[in-house]
Amino acid sequence: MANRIGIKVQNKVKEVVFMSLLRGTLAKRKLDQKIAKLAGGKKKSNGVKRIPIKTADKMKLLMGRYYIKAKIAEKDPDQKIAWITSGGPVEILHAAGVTPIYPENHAAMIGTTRMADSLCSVAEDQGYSRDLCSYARSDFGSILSKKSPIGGSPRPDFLVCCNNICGTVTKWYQELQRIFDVPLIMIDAPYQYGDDRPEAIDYVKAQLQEMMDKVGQITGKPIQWSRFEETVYRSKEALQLWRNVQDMLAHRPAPMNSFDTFIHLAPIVTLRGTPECIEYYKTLQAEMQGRIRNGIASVEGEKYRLGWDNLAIWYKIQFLAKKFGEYKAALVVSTYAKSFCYEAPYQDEKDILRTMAANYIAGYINHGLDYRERELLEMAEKFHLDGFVMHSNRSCRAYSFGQYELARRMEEKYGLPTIMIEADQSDTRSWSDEQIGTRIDAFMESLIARKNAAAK
Amino acid sequence: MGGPYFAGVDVGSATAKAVLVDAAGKLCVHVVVPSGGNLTLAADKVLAAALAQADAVTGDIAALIATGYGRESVAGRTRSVTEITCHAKGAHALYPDARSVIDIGGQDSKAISLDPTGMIRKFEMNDKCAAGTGRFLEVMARTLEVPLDEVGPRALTADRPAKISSTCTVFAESEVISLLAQGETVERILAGLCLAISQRVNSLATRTGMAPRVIMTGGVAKNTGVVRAIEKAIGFPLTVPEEPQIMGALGAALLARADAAK
Amino acid sequence: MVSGNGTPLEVFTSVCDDFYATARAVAASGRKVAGYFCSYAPQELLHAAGYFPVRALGRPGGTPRADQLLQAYACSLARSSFDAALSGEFDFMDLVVFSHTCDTMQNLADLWRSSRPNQRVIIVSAPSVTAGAAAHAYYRKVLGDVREQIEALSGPISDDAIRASIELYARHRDLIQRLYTLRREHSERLSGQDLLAVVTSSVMMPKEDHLALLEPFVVELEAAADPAPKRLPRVFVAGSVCQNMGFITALEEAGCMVVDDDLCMGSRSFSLPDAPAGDPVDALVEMYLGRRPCPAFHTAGFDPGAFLVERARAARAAGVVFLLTKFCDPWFFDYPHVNKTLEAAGIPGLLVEVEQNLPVPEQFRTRAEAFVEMLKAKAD
Repeated sequence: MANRIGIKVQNKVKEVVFMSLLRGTLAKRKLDQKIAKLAGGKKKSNGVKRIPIKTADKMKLLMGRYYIKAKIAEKDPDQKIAWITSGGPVEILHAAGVTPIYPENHAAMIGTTRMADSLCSVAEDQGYSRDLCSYARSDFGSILSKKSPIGGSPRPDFLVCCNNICGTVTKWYQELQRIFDVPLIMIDAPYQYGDDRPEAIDYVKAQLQEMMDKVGQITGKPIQWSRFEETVYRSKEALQLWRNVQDMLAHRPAPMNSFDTFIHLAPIVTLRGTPECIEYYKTLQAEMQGRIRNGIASVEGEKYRLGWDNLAIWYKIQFLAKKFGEYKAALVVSTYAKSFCYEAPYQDEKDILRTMAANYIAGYINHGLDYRERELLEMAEKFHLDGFVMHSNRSCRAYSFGQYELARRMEEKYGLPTIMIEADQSDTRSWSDEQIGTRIDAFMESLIARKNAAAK
Repeated sequence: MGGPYFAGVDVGSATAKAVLVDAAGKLCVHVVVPSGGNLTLAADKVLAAALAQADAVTGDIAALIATGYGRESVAGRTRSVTEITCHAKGAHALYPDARSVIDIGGQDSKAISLDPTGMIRKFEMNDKCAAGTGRFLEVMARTLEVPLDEVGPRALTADRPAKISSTCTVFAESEVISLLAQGETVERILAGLCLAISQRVNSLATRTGMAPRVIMTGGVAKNTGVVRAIEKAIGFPLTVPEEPQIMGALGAALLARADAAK
Repeated sequence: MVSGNGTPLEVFTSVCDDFYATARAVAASGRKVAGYFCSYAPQELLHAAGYFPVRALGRPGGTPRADQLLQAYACSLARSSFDAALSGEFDFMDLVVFSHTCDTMQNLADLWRSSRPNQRVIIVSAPSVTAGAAAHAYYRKVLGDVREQIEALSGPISDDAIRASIELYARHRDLIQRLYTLRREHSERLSGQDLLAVVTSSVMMPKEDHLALLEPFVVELEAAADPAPKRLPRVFVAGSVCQNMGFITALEEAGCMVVDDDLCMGSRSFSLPDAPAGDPVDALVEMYLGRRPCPAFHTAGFDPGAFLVERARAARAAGVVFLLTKFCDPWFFDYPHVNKTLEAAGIPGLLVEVEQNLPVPEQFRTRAEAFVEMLKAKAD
């Protein structure tokens, strides 16, 4: 115990020293500016009157601190760093005192700052196919060129990959292993077509147990069960808060929209299991309660409500928010933001690891069509949706294949219209404002006409 | 008069080229004609023109190697060889210190890397998409109503290139139209198109491991706008032969001569 | 049951001319047919249940029906197979079996099930990780469950029947492996395209029938004298399925010999180890997880680059041609590393993106010829 405190103090000192060092440099200011930009702190208003979400400022600080800590960790030989997928069991890393780094989060920043095209080109020049996931391509491009919106990610000591979001990450992390020549821990979370299979849950549980052992070996300190438990509970609490926040968008008018949630999901991805994460979503929740009380709408005069499917189109968030905003349409729920807070039907407080295994299988994109249909329908009912916006995402086959069928089911079975936006999460090269703009215009015109006709 | 001659006939999608070299390997005659729809006819025509210029007859040709997209349509060929090997041979003959060749023709773009003896180390070709080829430029020039030979000079006058994000010919065309609608100048758009091509070519070049001296061959080498953009992208100056289009036919003719020497 | 007459090779080749003609004839004769995707489907279980397992490999032609349900960025194997199904061309299959591999197949399985409600679909939820006790235990449970699902359709499958099927498949596999050895060591006796016709026809014909033709074919070839050597460059082919054999034909027409491959519809499907003794389903677990992995899987310690260099060297290949199906993510992620490893070993590579349902593009011939010219110049 004393030793742990000793290490803590030591780390704290290191942090303070590095912080002051960094503070003294322009680099930090630059970093802050970039993070501010990423956190949605854009100054320009888009014509629609909007009251900004204040918690966003807190996010700047939180994420800024997270990245600075990660940079410090890189310089500290005793502090292990792991790169992990967004759906990976990060609680184990936090419990082991390992700094988690999320290439996907970094890739999203690359997308938002519109660096993806040039970084993808770097990777393509090295032989990576243009048809591969743009997150992976821009990640490789960033590693190769050392260009990044935040000065690069710290080098990993090991890698953790969970394929509950796609098979692409399996290949992406295999390549990272070849690049960095460090251990790779694979967690295989089988895709579920119907109800979650108990043998799949057992399988993941066994792998989580193995992971705990391996991480303990890498850090040289076995993970303390009590610390692990504590992390899992913190994670659970943060996930519940994040679910609550998203549920508050069911209120009419919605206090924030899905585009905001894309920004505000950064802490749940990167920091779940930490006290800061809980703190953050409590603040956000309180702000949303306030906005609801005061009738502050995300889209002034909200008239139509839509759901979003698939990853964000990072480089066109403003464009899309503005475009739908012009029609007084608010996007109020998304399968994407919800992806990071699924709770499995199976819960057993006496078996934390198995519960955790079940939760890591439970996500939207780890499930087949019938499940996805149910989810979309539930969202439509709970959030009073008038239709769906589906991003057919060239980068993500796991998320996208099946959307045409889901759109058909929504329309034919439930009378919910859908617009399909063919795009990519971060590579802008096949995007056209005019084409997509026209498509959205046509969709909204027909949706409004339908609604008006139904009202008569 | 004279002979024997060694002939190289390069039948491409846009133009057919013929070259005659003599027994010493000296370039005697070169001719370029449009391919038209019939490749066999184009091959006959270009060879007849070359013979006429040399004041020679078919019997004076000791060996003929056909190359290019329509190489199997060339009558009287001793054998056919791909344009990759021929462009490498032609470029290396003219510039013995050549280590790389960039060839942009009507349908294909290629990057070839050579070893010091002129042997091919590695080559890359564009995928089936026409972006980054002469055809792409032609379509865009037509959309912009700019004569093809003005594309390069006018692109060079632009203060900055317009951003063309699509590299697909079909998408880029609609993008060009919307750029025009937004009031972007034709020059900037042209510069943007040259940049788009150079990025595509750079991708091929990087994958072959480009090293100087770099020779650029093919019809698009006449477009100064593209040449400058590629130089900037690959970071090496380009050497453009006086007649970049005939490099494949020249290589073929020299290979025909080498065959006969065996 | 065997379609057509003639030498075994003529039969193999004619079967490849019309992939599913044999299967349709078998179905018409009353035997139950199970179509399967990916070589990971446990064919022995299907066979033991009395099914004729036939592999779904798409077919030439456009995919207008599939395009309505599946985005253009799905690979041509998925799109063309799905289009065949939607057009009713696969209605002769009593059962369709998917085994979990890549994201595309994972999602296609579900789309298939929802679009062909009258066709029974079984999805084998194979692990994506092949090593370790957890994966093996999980797969054992999955295969046990799959057995029950099949039994619900076919009646009980005895352990002995599974063992007999494992034995039959092993005999067949052994012959195919002998043929590959022959191809590597006596390359003039059998062309690369002929070898591929043997391999491809083997998933389109009942195993017993194929075996009956294959055995004398291999024995005869093994005893044959070597023709005069042609001294053509030796080429290794690596990639996804590549059921469009026109690519191998065009490659050899360009003046080389395809002496070995690492293709899914090639040697990779026949890389299963021998069955261990004991419970036959346990044996299937060991065999399918112990085989040379498809790139969609994670096998700790397996280096696809080192593997390919070793295999290409063993085949004395002068170069490697990658025939990768466009949008085949698992392969395209490995390609830069594999190609770099090859280059470091002094083996040049040529990458070709393949659309399985379209004819061999003219440009491919040019690239293949240029590659062969390059290999020849290097050898001189």
